[in-house]
Amino acid sequence: MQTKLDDKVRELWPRKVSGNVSSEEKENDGVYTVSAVVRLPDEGDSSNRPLLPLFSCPRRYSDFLQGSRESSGYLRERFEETDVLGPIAMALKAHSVQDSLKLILTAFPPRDTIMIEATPEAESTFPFYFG
Amino acid sequence: MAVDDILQDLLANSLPENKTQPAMNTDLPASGDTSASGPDKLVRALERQCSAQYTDPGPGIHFIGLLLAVFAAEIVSGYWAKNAQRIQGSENDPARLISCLYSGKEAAFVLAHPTEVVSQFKHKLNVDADKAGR
Repeated sequence: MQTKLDDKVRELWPRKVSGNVSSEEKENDGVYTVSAVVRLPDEGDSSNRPLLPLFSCPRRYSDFLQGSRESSGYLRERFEETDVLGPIAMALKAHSVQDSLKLILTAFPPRDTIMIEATPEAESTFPFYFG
Repeated sequence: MAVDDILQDLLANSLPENKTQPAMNTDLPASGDTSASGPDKLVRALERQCSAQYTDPGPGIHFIGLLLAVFAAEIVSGYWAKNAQRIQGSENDPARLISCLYSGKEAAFVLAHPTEVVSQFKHKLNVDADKAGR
């Protein structure tokens, strides 16, 4: 997984060894990552499933195997299911990818997304642990 | 039903221009091309479309990144809902963790097995333990 992420970053952002943003760069010049889990049919019928898949908090990309000693990179900006549900429901009701992406890319972010206190997931290195 | 439309749209985009769309749109293209699995092709097609439309989202960049990741996961979930028999017939578990990489200029997707995350993490811990033991 991390190797694939690293390969993709080298492909698209060849000058970015890590997602750190230098003092001369704007926040959006950095590279970030966020993940979600694909749901499979054997995980129960659709009526019993949560409305949304499990998703992580956004974090700065860093080349983990390069031995970065920095913190996990999780941002203080957090989102809840209620923030995500509306735009995703609308995007999934569109009839083309283009329309779906247009809805997503113009979605308005919720207010009050900055976490003041550190949370346990902010201190872990990876967002998901699978047995 | 709309997820079907989106899947159909993506799979049509994933086909080379000189090939026609397969009759069963949510199946893999019947091209014999084994270079990538169906979900991988879907994700690549989604990435291409996203690249064409993506502009700097400004202060909402992390929210947009999250929406893209969740949307991609739901699209791949929709693919597997339509192609459950492919999971049963496969030796390997399907890749289940989709990550959206994004900046102000680009957005991209990576579909992988989450167990690889754990194995990489264990490798890292072992390396650190070796270093500490020296």
